Amino acid sequence: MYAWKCWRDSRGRVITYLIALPVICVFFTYINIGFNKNQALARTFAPDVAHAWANNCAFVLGSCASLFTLIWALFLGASSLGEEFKEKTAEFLLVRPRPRSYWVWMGWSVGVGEISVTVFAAVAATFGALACFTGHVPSWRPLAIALPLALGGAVIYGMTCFMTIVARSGREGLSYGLGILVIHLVLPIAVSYYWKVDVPSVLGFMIGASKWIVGIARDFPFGSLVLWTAVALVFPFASQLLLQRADV
Amino acid sequence: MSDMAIWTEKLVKTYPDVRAVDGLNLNVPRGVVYGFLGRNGAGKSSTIRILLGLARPTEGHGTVLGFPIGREQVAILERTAYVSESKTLYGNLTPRELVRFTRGFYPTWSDQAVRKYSQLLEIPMDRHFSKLSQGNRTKVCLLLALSQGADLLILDEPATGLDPVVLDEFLRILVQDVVSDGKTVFISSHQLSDVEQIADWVGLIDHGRLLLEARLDDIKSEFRWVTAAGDDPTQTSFPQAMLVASEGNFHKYLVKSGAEAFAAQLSRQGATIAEISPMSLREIFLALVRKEDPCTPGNVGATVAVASLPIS
Repeated sequence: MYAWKCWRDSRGRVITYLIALPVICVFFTYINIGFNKNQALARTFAPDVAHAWANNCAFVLGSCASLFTLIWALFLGASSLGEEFKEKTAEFLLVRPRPRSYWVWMGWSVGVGEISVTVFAAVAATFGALACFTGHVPSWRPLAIALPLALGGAVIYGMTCFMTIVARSGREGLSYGLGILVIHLVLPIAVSYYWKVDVPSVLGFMIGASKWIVGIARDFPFGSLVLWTAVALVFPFASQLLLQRADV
Repeated sequence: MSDMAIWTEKLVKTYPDVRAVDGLNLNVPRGVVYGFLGRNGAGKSSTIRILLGLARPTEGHGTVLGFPIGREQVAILERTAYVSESKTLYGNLTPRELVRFTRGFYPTWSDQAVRKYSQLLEIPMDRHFSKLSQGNRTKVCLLLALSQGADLLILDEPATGLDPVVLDEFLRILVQDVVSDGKTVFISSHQLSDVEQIADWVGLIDHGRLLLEARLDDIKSEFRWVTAAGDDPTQTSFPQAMLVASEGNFHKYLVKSGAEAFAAQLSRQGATIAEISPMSLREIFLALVRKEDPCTPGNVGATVAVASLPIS
């Protein structure tokens, strides 16, 4: 029943994003194809790209969709369990006969499910648009791009859920989550620039995995996959521990 | 312990700025209506939150329906219905959807009870909860609690916003449908007249401490006002009596039991007994709580708690 309630609360945003993300992806696909037709620009900015469609996939799904998915996951997480404290409905919810871990994991599962569906829709739309615009029908393999995108979304969603429980407010959790996301995205770039040290970033993983899937990169980032899967699971565990010790 | 619906021993809950519950020993028998009385901020809601696992006790322990608090919380919540003081449910759901949401959590849920009580309490089932009046919100909370088929109902200020007709109907439901079925009702309130109508037992809490716990009938039959005219009342040493007020040569005592013996003792000391009269629950409440309140003019601020009557 809680899954139904989570879906009911978020369905407006899910449907909006289910429409918006594919539209954004198709739009960027169209723009990027135009960019690639200009060979001078393509040579300047992407000289090592072998195939235009692969370049499009990597750019649109690996970069644009990744970034939009992270933002989408951030906003979706803001309406999760921690918001119940702000709305003063936590008292009602947490006296239902379920362990507190149930609420955390059920809410997390629904949220990750919604993100996954949205990402698959975006990937499918991009794939279809590429086939339409270029006349080239690639293999089904690029559809697997949805997996790293969904995993990245799960990481950010879980982090935002955790922050809403820490802050006991969706809005404050969103603010904290946004701050952490910005620092997380900027810090690896700064560290890499000044100290020449690679700091793992979820966006980097999403782009790297996407590049391997479309055939641009040679090695699949297995280490990153394990790391970010672990991180994705750490946040609901942390939320569970926090909620189990919280006075309502 | 297992014959108690609620049992606590030396329960303490402290927050950074206040000791909300201070060594509370509760004994709520099964199958009764227990009125848990106290002023605002006396520690009623904090106690309830501990019982339901919403807050963790700082010290002490207890059981609800025989299950230890905090350790077997799911078992407690399966058998306990709760109406919170805030009456805040999901504003974007209708009562019908709230029923749908709640139903799945309870194996003992009764759709028949939903139909019966929604009609009796005249609940608009298809209007969003946020659009309902305070009274109707309270009714929805009561509907969900009554339909759970719980062994224990914990109601925190359940009469909020109810008009007299619905309140009367609700109290009748509690007595006829719930308690007669062997279930226990634990009502936290400062609406003494409502509680007095239906309660079998009364617990009186102030500053987190239990001042009194006894059968309501015992309280009514035992507690007396004794008004006497005479000299220094502090010379009396009667453990069941408590000086409540003095005006000139007249002194008013609350006597827990043995009012006649106490009056005889005063007479022997040269006082003249002006009156021995029964007390209402409201008078007992006010007398005990005011005596406890160090802010009340005339009180010395000392703790003069009346010990709980033994449970029989």
